[in-house]
Amino acid sequence: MLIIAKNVSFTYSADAEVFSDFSVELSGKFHGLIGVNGAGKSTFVKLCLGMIRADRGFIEVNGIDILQDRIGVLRQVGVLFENPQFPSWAKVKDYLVWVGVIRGLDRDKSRGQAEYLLDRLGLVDRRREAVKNLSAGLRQRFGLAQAIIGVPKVVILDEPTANLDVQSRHLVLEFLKELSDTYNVQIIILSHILDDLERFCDRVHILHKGVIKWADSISNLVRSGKHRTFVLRDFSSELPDGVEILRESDYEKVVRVEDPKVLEDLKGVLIPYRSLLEEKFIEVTEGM
Amino acid sequence: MRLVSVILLFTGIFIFTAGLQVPVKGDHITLFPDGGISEKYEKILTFDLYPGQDMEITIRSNFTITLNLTIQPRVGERKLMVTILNDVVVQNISQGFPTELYSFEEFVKKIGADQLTRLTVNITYDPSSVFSEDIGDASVLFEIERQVEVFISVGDRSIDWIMYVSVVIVLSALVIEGTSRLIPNQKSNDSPQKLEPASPSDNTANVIQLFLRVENLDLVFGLISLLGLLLIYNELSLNLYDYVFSSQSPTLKITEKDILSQLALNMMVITGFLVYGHMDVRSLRSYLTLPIRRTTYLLTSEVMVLFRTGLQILFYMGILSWFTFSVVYGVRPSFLFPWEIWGYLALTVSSLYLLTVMLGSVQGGSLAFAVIISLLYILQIMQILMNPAALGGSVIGSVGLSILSVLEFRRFEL
Repeated sequence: MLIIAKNVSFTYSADAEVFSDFSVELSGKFHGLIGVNGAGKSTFVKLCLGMIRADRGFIEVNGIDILQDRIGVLRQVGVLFENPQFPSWAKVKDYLVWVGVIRGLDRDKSRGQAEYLLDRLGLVDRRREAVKNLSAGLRQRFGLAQAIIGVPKVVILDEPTANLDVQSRHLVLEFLKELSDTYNVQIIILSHILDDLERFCDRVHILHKGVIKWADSISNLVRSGKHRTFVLRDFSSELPDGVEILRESDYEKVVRVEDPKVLEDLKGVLIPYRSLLEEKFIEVTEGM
Repeated sequence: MRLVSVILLFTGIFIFTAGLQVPVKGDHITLFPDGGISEKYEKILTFDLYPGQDMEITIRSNFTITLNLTIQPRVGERKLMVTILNDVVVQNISQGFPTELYSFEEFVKKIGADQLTRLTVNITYDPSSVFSEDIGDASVLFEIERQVEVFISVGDRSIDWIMYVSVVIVLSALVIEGTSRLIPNQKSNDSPQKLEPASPSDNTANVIQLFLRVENLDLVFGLISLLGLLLIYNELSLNLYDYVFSSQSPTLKITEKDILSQLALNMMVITGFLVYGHMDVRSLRSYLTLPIRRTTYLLTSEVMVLFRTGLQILFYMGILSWFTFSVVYGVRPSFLFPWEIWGYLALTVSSLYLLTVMLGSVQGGSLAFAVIISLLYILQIMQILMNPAALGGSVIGSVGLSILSVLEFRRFEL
């Protein structure tokens, strides 16, 4: 089991309770954790890493209790936070090598792996630059490299594709998939880009207001899930009953269709407005 | 490239320090070695002077010291530098000169420094002279005891070219280092290795070692700076104390004390602003995700880097003052302890290194900034030299300059 949290409670202040008796078990090779802003995703990661301490409860990462052996947990985990910040002295390759050594690589191996990661993530020409001088996208890729070097057993990535262009996004996700497949690294991604998660994750949890509202595998979601919201391009003819118009303009209508018979009738003119995961996310969190 | 510059740098420093130390003979005299103040004390020091040698005598005392100077035929050009901080009377002059009371300046003017070939310093303390002035209070005498300091050094003019050579070597190192930083070498000798899991272990020693390697010279010079800082501030505090509490002549004379006081103030203000301005707590988060023990974290944390950066900038300002003293203004610091020289040396080297870092690692804009700041500080010091009354205004100017420094240094993030 990747991460087990049992009966965890945590509050930042008296009127800002994030978790109350929260329990979850995360497993799977490529895991997604999603939620609206303020749902508690980042707080949960900080609790798992021992950066903050739960008021009550128990958290275990890869079989190690975070309260008993924080260093032991951190030795097995690589982390990339959203908008990562690095020390002012950090230079791209030097810092990577340093992190590799911290994770237990000898220096030569760390240098070799740093070189490999720089090459794979398109940073090879920036190896001697100060990290602080990198653009947001490059810093994101650098952050990914420092999370991966030394191949920790668990990699937690908070918005790993933020600030990346389309090509870079695919490069990063494909690389993560390869990492997961080749080295058996277990990956947890926190992201708002649900299309990516649907494409790459094998299991997803939806966290809302400190509670897991839904959890299932993507394959189950694909089997049982259905699109409900569509974009209607060709709407010259009269719309049948069972089509609820959510928004309309001169160019398109966004509609909700629940009835399978109506869906069948309009097949060919309805374009799914959201991915299945997004539909599920909206369904789970709407009105809550 | 870095290795070459480091070797050159340390070679230059070595020659420089050798030049300072080897040819110089001197003695630091402490009276009342046994703590007694009621008995007479006499010590005779003799130095042979050779052609081309310079002589420097620095005496600080608040009672009479007898200097016995032996004069020999003229044998070569010689330069004599004398710094006298308190009343010193030459009482006895041998070899054909009349035994008269001269001030030391009068004596030097009369005989001509180039005629000195042997210097004998006869230091005599007679307690009756002290008690006769009706200051027999024990605590006063204790103060007197502490204030008696004599330092006499006899140097060699060959120091000059040694200094020039060492400066050229050091500058070469700095240029090489700066150039290599301006044009970062993006090639790597490391061949990529496929990823493979690390074997987690306690690697504190490796982490620290690697951090020192990453920080390398910056950290070393930071520590050297710290040494220099301690030595200099020791003297600064003495000067400030004297300036504030000791009786001054009604005519305010600009002394090194004034300059040092001003610089000390500047340095403190700048350091404060830098410490405040450089702090970036967010980056500390990256450490908390790494498996580092807290002791290792302290040794490698941003706090230490911040500490080092602050020190370096402090000493960058310090070198300007030293440069101004010794080159522009021609004042030799009147520090009486030979180890003060080491403080200044540490200050010089670390500050020069910082300057190189500035020139090499940041954008062109900060080069202009460095030049401007340097000029402003020199101007400020000159202003105080010319007009003591400007001290207050200069302090205000320093604060403004410091704020500017912080803004700019933050922008370029040294």
